[in-house]
Amino acid sequence: MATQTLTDEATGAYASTGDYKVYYNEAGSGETVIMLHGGGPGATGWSNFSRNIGPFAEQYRTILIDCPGFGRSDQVTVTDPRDQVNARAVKGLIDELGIDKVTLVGNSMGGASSLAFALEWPERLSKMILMGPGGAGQSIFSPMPMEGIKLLFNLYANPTLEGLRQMIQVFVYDPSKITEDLIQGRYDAMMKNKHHLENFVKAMSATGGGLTDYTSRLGEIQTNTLVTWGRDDRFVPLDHGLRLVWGLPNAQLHVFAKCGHWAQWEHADRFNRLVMDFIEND
Amino acid sequence: MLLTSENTTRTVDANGVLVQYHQAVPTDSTDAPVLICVAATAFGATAWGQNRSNIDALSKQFRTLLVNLPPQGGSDKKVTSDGPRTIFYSEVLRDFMDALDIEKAHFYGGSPAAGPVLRFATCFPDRVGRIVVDAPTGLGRSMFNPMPVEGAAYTAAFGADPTMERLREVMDIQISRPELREEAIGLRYEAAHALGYQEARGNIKGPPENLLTFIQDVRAPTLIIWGAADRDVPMDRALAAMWEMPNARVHFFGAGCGHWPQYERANEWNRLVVSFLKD
Amino acid sequence: MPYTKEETDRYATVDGVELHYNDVGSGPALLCFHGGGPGANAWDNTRFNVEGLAPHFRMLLVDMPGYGESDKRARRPEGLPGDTALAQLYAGLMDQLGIDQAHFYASSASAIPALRFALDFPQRTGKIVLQANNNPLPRLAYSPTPAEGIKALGEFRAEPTRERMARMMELFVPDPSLLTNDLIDRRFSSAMTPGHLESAGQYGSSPSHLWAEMRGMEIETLILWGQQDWMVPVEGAMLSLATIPNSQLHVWAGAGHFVQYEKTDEFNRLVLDFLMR
Repeated sequence: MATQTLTDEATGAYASTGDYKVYYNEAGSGETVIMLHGGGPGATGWSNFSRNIGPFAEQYRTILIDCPGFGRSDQVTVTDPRDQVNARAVKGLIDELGIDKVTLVGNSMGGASSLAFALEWPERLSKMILMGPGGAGQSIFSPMPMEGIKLLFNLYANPTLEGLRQMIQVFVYDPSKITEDLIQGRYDAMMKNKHHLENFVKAMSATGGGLTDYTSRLGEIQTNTLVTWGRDDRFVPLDHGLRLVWGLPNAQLHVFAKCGHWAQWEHADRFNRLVMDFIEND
Repeated sequence: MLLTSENTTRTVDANGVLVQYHQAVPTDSTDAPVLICVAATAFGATAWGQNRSNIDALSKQFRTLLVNLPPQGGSDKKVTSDGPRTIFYSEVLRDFMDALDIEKAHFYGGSPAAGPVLRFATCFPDRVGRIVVDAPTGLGRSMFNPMPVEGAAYTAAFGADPTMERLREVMDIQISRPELREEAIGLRYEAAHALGYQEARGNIKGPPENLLTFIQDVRAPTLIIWGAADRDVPMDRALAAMWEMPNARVHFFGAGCGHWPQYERANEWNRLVVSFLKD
Repeated sequence: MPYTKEETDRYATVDGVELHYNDVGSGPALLCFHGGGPGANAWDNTRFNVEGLAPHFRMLLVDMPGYGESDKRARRPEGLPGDTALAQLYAGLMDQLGIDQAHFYASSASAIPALRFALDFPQRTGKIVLQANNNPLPRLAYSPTPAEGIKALGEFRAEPTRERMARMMELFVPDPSLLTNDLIDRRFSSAMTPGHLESAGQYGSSPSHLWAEMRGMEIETLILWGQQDWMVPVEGAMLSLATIPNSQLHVWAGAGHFVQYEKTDEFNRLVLDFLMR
């Protein structure tokens, strides 16, 4: 499988969503797929989906957004739940770019944002892929906040290299695959935009520490959805996977074994094939 | 009289194995039923440390014995065993009962001591009344909580390097309410560094055991207690255990209860246990 | 048994709705509510627990509108959600009896109006005991919906025969030695009370969103369940424990949907300890 040599800089651009100016990467042409990253300190579209944009761009117009309050995008000073802020930003961006319908690929906070979008603007949504999404409330078997989320909150409040290293160890099933470069890159991104961290902490205190709980509204979402989970996810609980596939009228669930909270990176090839097949053929 | 570790401690020779324990009895009754509380065998865990918030209430109804299995607390530091731990400890408990002329007793086992207590119930069913266990280890792999669970790394780190700081990290994970941790830390640290203890740590070592292989044979009515926010032993295993034990029930403490329900929710735990045992 | 239904039968009219209840025992008030299935009624639901609890509590075993001997024709006020309407009825009954505050024991579907009462009248609520309450989510994750017992309940409603009632009760009480003919006969006869099948559940039933309001509810709650409950699977118990902040859960192996009967002594002692401490 040939991969394009794309870079962050070569594919990056800015646009207004109405409320915010956001940074995004764009590559490829055809049907539009928008990927939404997770909510950790220093997260960006490019870093979250570095192993996915290449293969996807061969088939689709692929867009990675830095959500408002992250990366190079504008600060978020309101304390609304971030899933709702992000959903509005996606809507604003696709209106601005003149895109009618999209498929959303949402990781963690990005997944909760996709649920929010699906409830508000279902007519603008083709399909939805959710990887370990937030937005499904309390676990019945895993004490919350989960191990990884505690580390994430601590890192937001006290951003250090050591704290980041600790969180990333827990983020993936096999920490030996994480390079020093990756950690350093993530650390630099985190420290470059410290205002994002402060704003996020404020927002978390206001919302009681979390994303919206969409469990009671899942039945309203008719969108054809693929839910994936890492069996060894220490950030968002595995029992939510089944909760989602029962609650969403049109969903499938795929669990990756030996996989933490970053399926699209930890099992990139398998993930890319699975998702592109879902988009293409389901 | 205020019960203390010092004024309740005793030892007995259980068929050549020294067992140190604490005893408290009801003031008005000479033939109260016996309740044997078996302490966890974790690093630095002791009978007094585990059940000091329970002995007062329990000893109003039962002749209450808080037992340290070797090499914990003041118990034997020389005896060794390579076979299955639960079987070795069952025999120690039987010998302990024989040495004290106790025909039959109720049992309580904390977390890693649950296995020995449940095994005892299958080996010597006539010696057992009712059983209470807290958050048993050895019930197999969690279906929902990635393993090793969050607490495991801290426990291992303390085991390798038993500093106060590492112990604090263990207690932070195990005990939900911060104000309850200090006293627990003090007692655990002291015991972990008691003379001769660390050298004896490896004396009782056996192959890993899965309790699900034998708990079907437990006839005694059993109460399993678990904190819903236990980050040390995954609570979904309670339901798995119950499918194997028709005469069991589980009580989950919600509201953030962690790995030490007998301590974090002492008053409620005491009432629950007394009520269950008194049937 | 010192307490009988006949000696303790009472009637009251609250907001124009005729309610039947049994007033048993003395002590702090404990309102007891039955489930929503055909033939459910307050006395049959709680009669096994009266002996153990009435020495300590003034137990009020209340037939909900449409059930037992309560009003079969009452309709709830226009525009009022079912759980709110029932909660207000309870408040009205308590007013008439001069009861300021009460504990609540609610079986199965009656958990919803009981929790609504706790949300709307927190000062008047002591503690709550829920038993096999309905699910905090529209669909469970590990148990197919509808549950086997709920399907059997539907089959009885479609054709109310004793045979179908027996089938439904088998899914209530999995231990055959506990499922007596007397139990089935009483329930069947209660189900065939004129007007009951048509009106059961009408007064109180409407979609409820109160589970989303649980986050701020601090009232101490004890949840009781049988692991072999085929009406409301035990997953619902775990969900309730996770959803209600100040809660604890007790699950019995080998018991089903009727733990107050299947495990009477332990049930009574747990409830007594929980409410009295």
